[in-house]
Amino acid sequence: MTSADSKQIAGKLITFLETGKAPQGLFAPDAFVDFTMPQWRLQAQGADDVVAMRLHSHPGPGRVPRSRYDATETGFVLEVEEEWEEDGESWYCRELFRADVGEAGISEISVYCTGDWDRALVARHGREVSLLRP
Amino acid sequence: MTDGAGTERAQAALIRAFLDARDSGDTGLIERAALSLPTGQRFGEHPGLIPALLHEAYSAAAAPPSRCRLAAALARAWVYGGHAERAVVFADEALSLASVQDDPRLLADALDAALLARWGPDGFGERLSLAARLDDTAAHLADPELRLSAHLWRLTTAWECLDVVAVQRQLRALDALADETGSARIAFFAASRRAMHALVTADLATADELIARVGEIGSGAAEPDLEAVTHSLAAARARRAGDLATLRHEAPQFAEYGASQGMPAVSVQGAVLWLEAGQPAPALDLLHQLAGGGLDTVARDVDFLLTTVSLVHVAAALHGGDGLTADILADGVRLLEPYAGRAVLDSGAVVFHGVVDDYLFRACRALGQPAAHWRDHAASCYRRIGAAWWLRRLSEPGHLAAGTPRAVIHLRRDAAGSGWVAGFDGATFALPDLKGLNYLRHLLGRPGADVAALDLAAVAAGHGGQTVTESGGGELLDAQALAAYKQRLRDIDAELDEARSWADEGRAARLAVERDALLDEVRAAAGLGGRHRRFGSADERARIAVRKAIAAALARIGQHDAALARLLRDGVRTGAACRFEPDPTRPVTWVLEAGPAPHESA
Repeated sequence: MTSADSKQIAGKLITFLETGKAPQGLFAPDAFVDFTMPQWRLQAQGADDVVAMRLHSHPGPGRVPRSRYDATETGFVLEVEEEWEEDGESWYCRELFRADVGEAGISEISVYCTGDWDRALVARHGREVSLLRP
Repeated sequence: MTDGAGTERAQAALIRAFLDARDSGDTGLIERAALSLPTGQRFGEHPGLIPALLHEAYSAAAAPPSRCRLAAALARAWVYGGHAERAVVFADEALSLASVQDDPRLLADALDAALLARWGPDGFGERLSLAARLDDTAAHLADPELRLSAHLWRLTTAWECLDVVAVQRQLRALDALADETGSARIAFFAASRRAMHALVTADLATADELIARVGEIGSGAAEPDLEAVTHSLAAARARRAGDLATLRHEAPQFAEYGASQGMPAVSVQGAVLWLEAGQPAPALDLLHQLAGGGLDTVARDVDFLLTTVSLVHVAAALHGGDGLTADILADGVRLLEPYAGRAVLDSGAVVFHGVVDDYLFRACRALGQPAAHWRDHAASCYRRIGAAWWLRRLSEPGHLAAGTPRAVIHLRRDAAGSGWVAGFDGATFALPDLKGLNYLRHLLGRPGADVAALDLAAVAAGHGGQTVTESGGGELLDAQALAAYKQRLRDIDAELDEARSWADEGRAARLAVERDALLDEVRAAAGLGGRHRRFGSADERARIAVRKAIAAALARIGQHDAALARLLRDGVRTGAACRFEPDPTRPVTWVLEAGPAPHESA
């Protein structure tokens, strides 16, 4: 698995985050996900269950305005921001993915999520915190 | 760069069409004619009558969708005309109107205008979000222009924050859109952005193909910014290749066009190109003209980062402790620090100009301030995007004193191909064909790189592609013992990983000592790349032959020019591995081919 292959898989992962549809070759059939969110943790095994876990918490399409990709010896680390609309509310979160990539796609992936921020929290954060970088 | 007489004629025709529509009193016709006005605008040039006529149509329009479209067009016309500050109010109104119209086409158009009006060094987070919204909106539209706009904005913001995955996705999306629509204009954008990517990753062969394609498609599509795009790509290509002839050709054109149009971001590129061409004097003149009033005078618009880093780049290279360059560097550090981690693009997002951290490094180094952390940040950024040329430049010396230009030295075959031309530019001399000259030229073309004597021996005329066969036998260390050592090293590495993962420092230290001792044994027995060192083998014969040939060539050069021979002797090392190590205090542009593609070192 080359760095270019891993980068392509990372691109497919972003497509999945944006559309809710897993492109061919994104997850290996026996893919395992370990999903940590604020004060909770979930796991799933098997490509279908991995996809189902994501769609359970993010049923609609969304946007990934930016990401940072770093290749690792076993796959990649991807840091993203997400934005989406659901039930008339706008949501925002930041996530870190550490993925092991094999010939069939992602075999293992750990996800660390900030939790979902609604419009009010985003606005409050903007008022109370001046970030050094966007 | 020309004044584009054809573009001006087209512009005059559009204005006449608007005036005719106005005379007709038909509001629909007036709107359509007004919206066509900016199509011939060239980025950064004075907009003339276009904003005034657009504003007239906008003021007369009553229906919200018409006002929305005209406000967006007006915003674009002001940004293109170099007055982004006048654009914001119209872009905001367009977005506000579009948000309540339930028409995704209007919304996409307004988002494009909002992005254009906010294209500057600040508000990057907002632009990211707007670009993502535009992409989301355009994804459900078939309109090729709106889809093109969405992809270009996502691509631009992705480059700015070095989001390599998004860059690849958007480049693919542009290719796909060009294929689907068959549009020459979209193919022009797709090819020019692919060319930029090829230049970033130093894939010059691909860049050359794409640049040629950009010129062909752009002419057919009558793209107003064609000249700006082709000149920018040609200059960027020349910098990557060290193509002095092109750099010297482009430098005055950038300087003159920027001066005539009042575009400092273009003029300062002239200074950068003069510098890269080994001509610091005109670069310094431009620096005085453009930055004599200090960097606080640089407009905080779309070109702010490019103009500022370019001035810092030139000032850092020419800094001799004088007031002007010291002031520019100090201003540059203060103004650029808030934008660390960001890429610098030109206003068309056609050329990548490095990352801000690179210029902070250059400025701090020239000022004698701590700079290593900026270099490390820049190197990390360049590694992430595969920008090999930019990464390599971080380790080059930064100072080039004005008045002591980079020397240009020839060591190349003559036009007939039977002899050689050597010597400083303007004082060259002829030499017969000598093997050692082939070896020297090969090494000069690969500064800082080890070349095995065996490989070098194959580059001389009459030896092309021919390598001396290995005789085998006589290894210093028995192959079986070496294999055992290597297996033990692999075991130790695995044990070290385990010890370190459990923070078992005592065990890790014991293993490290054993590992070092084994490595010493293996190194003593191995040649280049871990190959066994042999006595009397082809390697040894090649080493001796190359050393003698280079010594003979240097002696012959010394008969004509002792200084050049000394320069080469100081930099060239022979042995089993040969190497040319440039002297940073004696920068040279080596002309190694008869054509216009010399190689720079130091």
